[in-house]
Amino acid sequence: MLGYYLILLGSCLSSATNFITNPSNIWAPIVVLGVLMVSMILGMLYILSPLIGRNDIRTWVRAKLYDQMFTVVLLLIFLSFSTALCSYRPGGSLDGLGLLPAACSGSSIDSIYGIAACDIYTFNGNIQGMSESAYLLAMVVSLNPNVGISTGYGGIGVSIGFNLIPVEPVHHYLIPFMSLFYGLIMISQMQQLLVGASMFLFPVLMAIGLLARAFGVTRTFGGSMIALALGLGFVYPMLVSVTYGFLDYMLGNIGGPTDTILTMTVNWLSSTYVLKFIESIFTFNLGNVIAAALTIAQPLIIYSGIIVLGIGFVPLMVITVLDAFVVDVSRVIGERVDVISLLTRII
Amino acid sequence: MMRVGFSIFMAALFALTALAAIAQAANQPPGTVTNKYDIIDCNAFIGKGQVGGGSPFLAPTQLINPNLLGYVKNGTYNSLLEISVIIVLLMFMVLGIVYAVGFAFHIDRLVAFAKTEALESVFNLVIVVVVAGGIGAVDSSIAFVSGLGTLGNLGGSQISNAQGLYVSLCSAVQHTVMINGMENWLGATFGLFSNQLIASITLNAMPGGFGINFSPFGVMTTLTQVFWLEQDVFVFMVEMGAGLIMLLAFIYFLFPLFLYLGIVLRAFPWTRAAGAAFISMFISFYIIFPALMYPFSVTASSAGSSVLCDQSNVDANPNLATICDTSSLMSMQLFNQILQTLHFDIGGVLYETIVSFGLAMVQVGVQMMGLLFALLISYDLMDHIADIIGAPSLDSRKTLSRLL
Repeated sequence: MLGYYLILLGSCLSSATNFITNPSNIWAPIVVLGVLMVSMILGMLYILSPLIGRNDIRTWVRAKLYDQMFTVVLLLIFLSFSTALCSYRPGGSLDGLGLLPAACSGSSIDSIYGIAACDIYTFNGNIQGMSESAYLLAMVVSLNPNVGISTGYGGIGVSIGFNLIPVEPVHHYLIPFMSLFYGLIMISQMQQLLVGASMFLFPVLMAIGLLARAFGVTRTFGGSMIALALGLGFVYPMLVSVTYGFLDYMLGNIGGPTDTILTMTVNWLSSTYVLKFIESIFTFNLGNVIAAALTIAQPLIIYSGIIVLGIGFVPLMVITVLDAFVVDVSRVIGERVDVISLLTRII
Repeated sequence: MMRVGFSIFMAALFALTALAAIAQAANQPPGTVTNKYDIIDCNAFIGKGQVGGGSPFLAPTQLINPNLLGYVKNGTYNSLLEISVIIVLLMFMVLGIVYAVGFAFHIDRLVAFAKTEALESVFNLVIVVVVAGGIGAVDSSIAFVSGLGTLGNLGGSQISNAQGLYVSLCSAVQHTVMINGMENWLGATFGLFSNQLIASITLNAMPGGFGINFSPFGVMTTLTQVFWLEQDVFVFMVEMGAGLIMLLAFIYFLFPLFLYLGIVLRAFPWTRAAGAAFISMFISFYIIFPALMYPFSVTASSAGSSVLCDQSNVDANPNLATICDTSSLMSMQLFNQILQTLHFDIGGVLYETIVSFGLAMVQVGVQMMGLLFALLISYDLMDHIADIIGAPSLDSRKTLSRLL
C-alpha cells in the first residue's frame, strides 16, 4: 500500500526534474536522516546535561525534540496530503455544479492542477476571441464609405461630405477596447504562469521547507516555505479552478456548443438584422435603431461583462485570499512571508 | 451666371428638403415610447440562471448549472456541512491525543496548542450550527439592511429575501447604466454624424481652380470633441454596467459555496486563514454589499425625472420636454441641433448637448456613488470580520494598492 502511494505520489509530483520532485527518491529520506541526526545530537545533550550541571539545557532539548517530532509529523501529513491531492479527481464534482467548462472535461486533465490550468487557459482564449471579434467589427465598420456631394458650376458651388452610415464612432471605440483588453490580459497571463507553476512549486517548496525545518538554524525559513507551498500549491489552484471554472462555464454556454465569440460575430455581421439596423438609420426610425442595436449587441454585452469581471474583480479576490492565507500560516509555523510584496518586488 | 444661380438654388432646395425630412421623421412628440426591452431578463437570470430570448442571436440559454442553482435556492450544501461536522469531531479527537501526550511528557507547548485549538473547534461547531439554520437568517439580514436604506420612502419594492434584492439591483443597474448608456451612445453617434455633416458644408468660389472656399458652419467642429467625450463615457457605462451585473451574479451564485468551503477549511489550523477569509467575504459581499447599493439604485432609477424634469419646469420651458423624454433624446440631437445650427445658435446646441449629457449622467452618477460606497464599506467590513474569525492578515486595501 505504501509502495502504491509512493508511486502515485511520485508520478503526480514529478515534473521538470524527477530528482527534485519525487519525494520517494531523494529528499524524504534526507529529511528523515536529518531529523534522526539532530535527534541523536539532542539525545546526547539531554543525557550529558545533568552531568555538567546544566538542567536548563534539558528543558531546551525537550522543546527542540518537540520541534523535531513536529517536523516528522509534518512530513507524514505532507505525504498523505499530497497523495490525496494527486489522487483526488474533482472533475466530477465541479462538473456537477457547473464549474467545469466543456473544454476542460477530458479525463487527461482531471487533477486540481490540470483543471485550474485549463480553466485559466480557456479564459485567456476567450479574451483573445473577444479582441479578435472587436478587430473584425472595427474592420467591417471602417469599410463605411465616405460620401462627398459637390454641386456648382465653373468652380462655384457647394460641397458636403459625410460617412454613408453614421456608425464611424464604433470604430473609434473598438480600437481602444481591443487595446484595453490586450493590456488587462497581462493579469490573466500572470495567473496562468502561477497556476502552471503551482504543480511544481508545491513539492519543491514543501521539500525545501521540510528539509530546512529539520535543522534548527533554518527552522523559521522552512516554516515559511511550507506556508508558501500550501498557498501557491493548494489554495491558489483550488480558487482558480472554482472561480474561473464558473466564468468559463458561462462563457461557453453563450451561443451554441461549438460557437466561439468570433463565429458569433461573423453570424451577426452576415445576418439580415444588420441590414434592418441600417434601414432604420436611413428611415430615421430611431426607436427601431435602439431596438436593433440592442438586439445585435446583447450577446456581445453579456460576454464582455463576464470578461470584465474575470480580469477585474476575480484576480483581486483570489490574490487577497492567497495573501491572507500565506501570511497567517507562515507567521504560525515560521517567519512571516508576504506573497504580494514578493510578487510585486519581482515585477 | 444663370446656371450658377440655378445650381445654387437646386443645392439649397435639396438641403432644405433633406432637413425637412429629417425634422418630420425625428420630431417625435414628448412621451412617445420607443421600443425598449431588457438586455438581460433579471428575473430569469437571477431566478433561473437563464439569459437570452430577446435577441435572435441568443436563444434562451442556461448560464448557471441547475445543481448550483438548486443549492443556492435551498440555501444549504448538506454534504459540505456534514463533512464540516465530521472534521470538527476528528479535530477534537486529535486534540485530545495531543493534550494527553503534552500532559504526560510535560510539553507545555503541546498543552497550550491543544487548549487553543479546542476553543477554535468549539467556535467552528457554533458556526456550523448557525449556518445549518439555513439561508433564512441571511434573507432576514438582507431585508433588514436594505430596509434601513429605504427609510424616508424612497420608493422601490420591499425586499424580503436575497433573490428579490439581487433581481432589483440587476434591473436598476441595467436600466440606469447599461440601457441608458446604449441609448445615449447612439444619440451621441447621431449627434456626431449631424455635427460633422453640417460642419462639412463648404461654399466654393474657385473659378478656374483658384479662389476661396468657406465653411460657414466650421465652428461646429468645436462640438466634435464634446461628442467624442460623450461616446467614451457612454460606452464605458455600458461595459461597466455589464460587468456590475455579472459581479452581482457571481456573488449570488458562488459565494454560498465559499461560505461552506470556508467552514470546512477553518476546521484545520493550517487552512484556518483561508477559511476565515471565505466566511468574511460571504458576510461582506453577499449580505452587506448589495444591501448598501440598494437605496442608491432606487434613487438612481427616479433621479432622471425628479431633478430637472419636474412638470413645472417642463411647462415653463418647452425645450425641456424634448430633453426630458429620453426616448426622444436622439430626435433632439438631430432636429434641434440642425435647426439651431442653421440659426447659428451654437450656444444653444452646446447647452442642450451638455444638459442632455448631464441628465444621462445623473442616474449613473448616483449608481456609481452607491457602488463606491458599498465597495468601501464591504472591503473594510471584510477585513474586520476576518480579524475576528482567524485571518488577521486579510488586508484588501494593501493588496489592491500593491497590485496596482
